[in-house]
Amino acid sequence: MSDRRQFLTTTIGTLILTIGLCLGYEALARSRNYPPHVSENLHLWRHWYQKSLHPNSVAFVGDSRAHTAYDLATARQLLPNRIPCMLAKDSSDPFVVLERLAEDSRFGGIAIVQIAMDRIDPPNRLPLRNFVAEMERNFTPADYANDVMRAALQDRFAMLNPNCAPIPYAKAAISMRSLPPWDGQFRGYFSREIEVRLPEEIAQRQLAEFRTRVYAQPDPKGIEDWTQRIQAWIQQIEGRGGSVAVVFHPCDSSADQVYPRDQFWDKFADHLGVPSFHYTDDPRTAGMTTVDGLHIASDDRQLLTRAMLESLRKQGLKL
Amino acid sequence: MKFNSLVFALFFCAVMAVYYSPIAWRHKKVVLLVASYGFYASWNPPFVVLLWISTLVDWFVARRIAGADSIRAKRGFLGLSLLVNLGLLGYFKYAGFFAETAEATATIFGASFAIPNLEILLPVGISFYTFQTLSYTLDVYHGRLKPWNSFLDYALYVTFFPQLVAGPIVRAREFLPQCAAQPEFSWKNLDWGLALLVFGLFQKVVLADTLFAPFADEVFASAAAADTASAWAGTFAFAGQILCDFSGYSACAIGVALCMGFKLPENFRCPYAAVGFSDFWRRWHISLSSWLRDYLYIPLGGNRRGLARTLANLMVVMLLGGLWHGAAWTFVVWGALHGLFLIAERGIRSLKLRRLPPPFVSAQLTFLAVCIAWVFFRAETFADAYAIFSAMFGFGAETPLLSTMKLAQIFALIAGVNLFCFYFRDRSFRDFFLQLPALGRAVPMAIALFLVLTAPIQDRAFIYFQF
Repeated sequence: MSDRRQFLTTTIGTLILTIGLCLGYEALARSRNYPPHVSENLHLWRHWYQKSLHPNSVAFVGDSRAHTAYDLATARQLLPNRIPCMLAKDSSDPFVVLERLAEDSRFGGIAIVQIAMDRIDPPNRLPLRNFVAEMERNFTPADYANDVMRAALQDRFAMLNPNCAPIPYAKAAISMRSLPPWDGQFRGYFSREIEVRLPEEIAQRQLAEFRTRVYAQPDPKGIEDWTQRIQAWIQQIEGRGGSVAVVFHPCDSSADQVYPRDQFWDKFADHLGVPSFHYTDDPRTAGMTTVDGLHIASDDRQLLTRAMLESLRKQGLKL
Repeated sequence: MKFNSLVFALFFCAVMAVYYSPIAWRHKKVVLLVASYGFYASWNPPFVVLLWISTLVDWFVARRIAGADSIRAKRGFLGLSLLVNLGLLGYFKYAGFFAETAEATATIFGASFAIPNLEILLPVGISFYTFQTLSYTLDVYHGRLKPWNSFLDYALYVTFFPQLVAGPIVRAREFLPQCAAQPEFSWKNLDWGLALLVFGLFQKVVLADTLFAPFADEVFASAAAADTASAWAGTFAFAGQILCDFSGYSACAIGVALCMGFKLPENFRCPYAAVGFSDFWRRWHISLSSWLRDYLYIPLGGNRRGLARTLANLMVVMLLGGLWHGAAWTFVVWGALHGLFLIAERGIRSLKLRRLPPPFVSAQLTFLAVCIAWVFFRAETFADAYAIFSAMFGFGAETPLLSTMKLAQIFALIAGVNLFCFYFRDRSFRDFFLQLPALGRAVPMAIALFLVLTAPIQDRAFIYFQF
């Protein structure tokens, strides 16, 4: 075989096989209900932020709980005249982003803010300014261009964000069908008895850590102060023709114990006076739980997105 | 612009399309030069100016050296080149380090002063292109090369994008003759070039970033909590990470250049199969070790001035080699350890032992010693390095840091890498691969490409970019 023929056979063969493997993987991911999902990234965050400045934008604001809970494809389907933008990011603070949107005179869209009561209570809040500083760090032009292209592809192909896909890197998943990351990790390495016990033990230990870290006893004064500040940001956005809605996600039962709905969420939402959605408002989502104490299962994303948007629309939010 | 990015994929396709279009060779070189500046500017556009300074200074200095009629004048011009190149390198890379060291030294002697944080941004690849331009001037100074007559060729030599930011460090006498006429097109070169690019990306994205790095990060981030098995596993994981990261970059660079017909020197030759430390340095970062040998070790006298001087030269070269890698004392200690290893090896050789361990055993012993030195390379502080060392030798935590599953994964992975290295120790992977039938080549390439595309995005730059 001539060198030319060898080259063409190898290259074309490689391309066909790669495309075949990719298609198979994409089909597997989708069959297991892993939709396309744009990965978290600061460059992408800036990309989404620019998009959110469009007057027709709907910006989802929140931390990883929101990032893993909203399905942009469902949002696009339900809001054909709007531009859904994912401003939720792992470990970010929703209020920093809300503040930024409020202070940015260009923003006149709708902000749907995931409220986590533990984030309102100042002693438990993550350092706000670090996040903003990191967002505004100078990235290289190539990094920025790369991430914009990557976002466009990840938004269409589930296989391109294996952090949310089933194989082969399920350990890194943040939004899983079942309990991550220990599910199936130990198969074959221990006796059957240990295999059964181990995931549960690890899960319990991890949940206990979450509770200690996240769900500490709230300070009512702190919550009151923050409610006033949030109200001021809402007024700023509304003053430019935009609107804000607040949302409470399915959470670990211990969060409900520390922050009973009637004592915290209901008062908070009433005080703000904007459309709100608590997951127990809708019978379809009322029974939803989290897989790891914080995040909902990927199977539930479409339903939660749909229920939330439908509820907010009924309350008069111009979606 | 990283090789493992969509931007680079588009950039490479565009460059290849123009390069193989029917335009004159001179115009193709102009396109390559402009593309190379664009490639560098994609990190930080103003730093292209540094590249221009380095290029212009050595271009004019080399011509002056060749035209000078006295050795004094030649030395003067060489001094100017060294001053500018090493001055820029010293300022951008080592100013902060020297300031911190001065502060710490003053504190030891009871004085107290604080140098304000200089916050100097390190221009990517400065250590690589500085050594490259210096080698041109030094070769002209020593009469090994005549000043090149085409500035375009010379500028392309300094800036050629595949090897600009992390090597291999190319010598002018290897590269410039390739610029004289367009390299003859070869399907085999294109075939092997693309294969190198795919396997290089596989090494970087899948092996280094996805499989090795998380384990190394986990152990070195919790150095104080490491137990014996985890400390060794974390060190092995870093050994695997840095090999796959850097040899992956080199493979991509050589592959991309080869797609355009340019031949760059080999930079790695299965280093973890090295039998002894001098063998290791003939296989690890070959372009740097040969640069240090030719432009530092030999001018210092090499091994021609007695045993004591030879050993001192070895130590000086390895200390400076360590410092070249990073502006921190941990890198200097890493270099010193390698210097000691080389000295010890000379000592063992001088005993002329009748029975030596079989090559595989010697290779594994060398690998273990190399791994011990990697601890200083990876640890951010001496305290971390000390904690890892203590754990490695049985004085670590009692509670396991890594699960049995993770330990098994790391040991299996590093064993796989070492076996691969040992199998191809004296064989050519290129010959092995190119003799496979076309479809036999397509299958591993497709699997590698698929894993590269679907690997979790880590946003890790190549480790050697920081040097």
